[in-house]
Amino acid sequence: MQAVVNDIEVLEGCIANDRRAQKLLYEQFYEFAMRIALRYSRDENDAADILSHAFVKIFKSIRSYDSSKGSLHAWIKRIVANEGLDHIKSRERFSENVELETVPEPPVNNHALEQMGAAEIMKLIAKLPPATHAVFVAYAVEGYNHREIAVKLGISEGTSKWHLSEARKFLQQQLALAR
Amino acid sequence: MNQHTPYEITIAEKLGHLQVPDLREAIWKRIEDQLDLEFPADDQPGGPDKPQTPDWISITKRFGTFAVIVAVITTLFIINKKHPSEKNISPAQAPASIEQTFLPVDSTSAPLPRPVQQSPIRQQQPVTDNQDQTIPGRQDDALFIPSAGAADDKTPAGDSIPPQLSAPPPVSNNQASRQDSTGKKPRGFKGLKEDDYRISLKKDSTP
Repeated sequence: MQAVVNDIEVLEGCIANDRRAQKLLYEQFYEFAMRIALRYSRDENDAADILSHAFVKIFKSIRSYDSSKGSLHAWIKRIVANEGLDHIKSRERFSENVELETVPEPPVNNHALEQMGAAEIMKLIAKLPPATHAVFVAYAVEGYNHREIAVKLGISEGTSKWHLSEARKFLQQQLALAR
Repeated sequence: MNQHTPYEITIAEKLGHLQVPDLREAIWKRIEDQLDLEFPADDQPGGPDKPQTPDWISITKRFGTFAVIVAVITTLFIINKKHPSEKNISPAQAPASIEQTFLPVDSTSAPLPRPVQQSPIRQQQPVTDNQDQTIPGRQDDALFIPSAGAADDKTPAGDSIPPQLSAPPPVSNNQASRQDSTGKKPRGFKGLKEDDYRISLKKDSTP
């Protein structure tokens, strides 16, 4: 896939607003981007919204992509993840009432987690409150740090840590029940 | 402290294998519709990017054309207002507002006659008799007279004074000054009227 998407003709076609090149790029990245979108979604419709908005942004700003600064995969991943955070932010008011300096790490039964499939884990995460959901996915799955999450969501780092702590507690309880 | 826990790493790995629903075409349709709205498609690969440049050119052309038209109309209007054709305005038909507009121009060409030099005979001439005696060369004089609001109402009635402007002035101290303008040598002190002299005579006769 990497060899295909680095094809200069596809990128130049997208820059020239050529629909065929744009669709080719979209199809090559559909599964990769859809997985990211699903992590921030409650259902497929949410994911479709995130993905469509993200690809419009990709095609609008593809001129700004600089291959010397990183791969196209990383560039697209960041745009889709940002769109996912924006999507959650638009439907959820983030509370600034509680802040934490450090995030507790409650013991979680990793064995139970390994027995679960990806869809079951996704259902578990989708049960989290939207703000907590967003912080957990951004931190634990996408690899953002709390400062980046705070900037993206317009909250403080302490609030981001609090949401992560709440997510860990919730998952501990749910996985204990699953045992 | 705030490090990734082992179960979070497991979750991240598992989510990497998440089954993806096949909404490929439906989502592409939405993307395409949105792109069509924002950027009309350019089917020729490598062609110029059209989203903004043509819009700016057309907007600039339209605005430039509009600005030129407005400038021409404004210039014509100003020229027409500064240099009106005299043949279109007869002194008798000119409204007061137009006469006031020409006042500065007229004042330079013909000096404003002073009230002292006016003859009462000319002042009392009926306006209707003089309308036919308008001298074309003196049109400007006729135009500025009624518009000279600062001048006294004893301003000689011009050839084209509208009837409403020829009404008799209110009886006041102006009468004395009018009589002074007849050419007779003024008697007594300035500012004293004939009535004042009569009063003084009565005082002398009563005792």
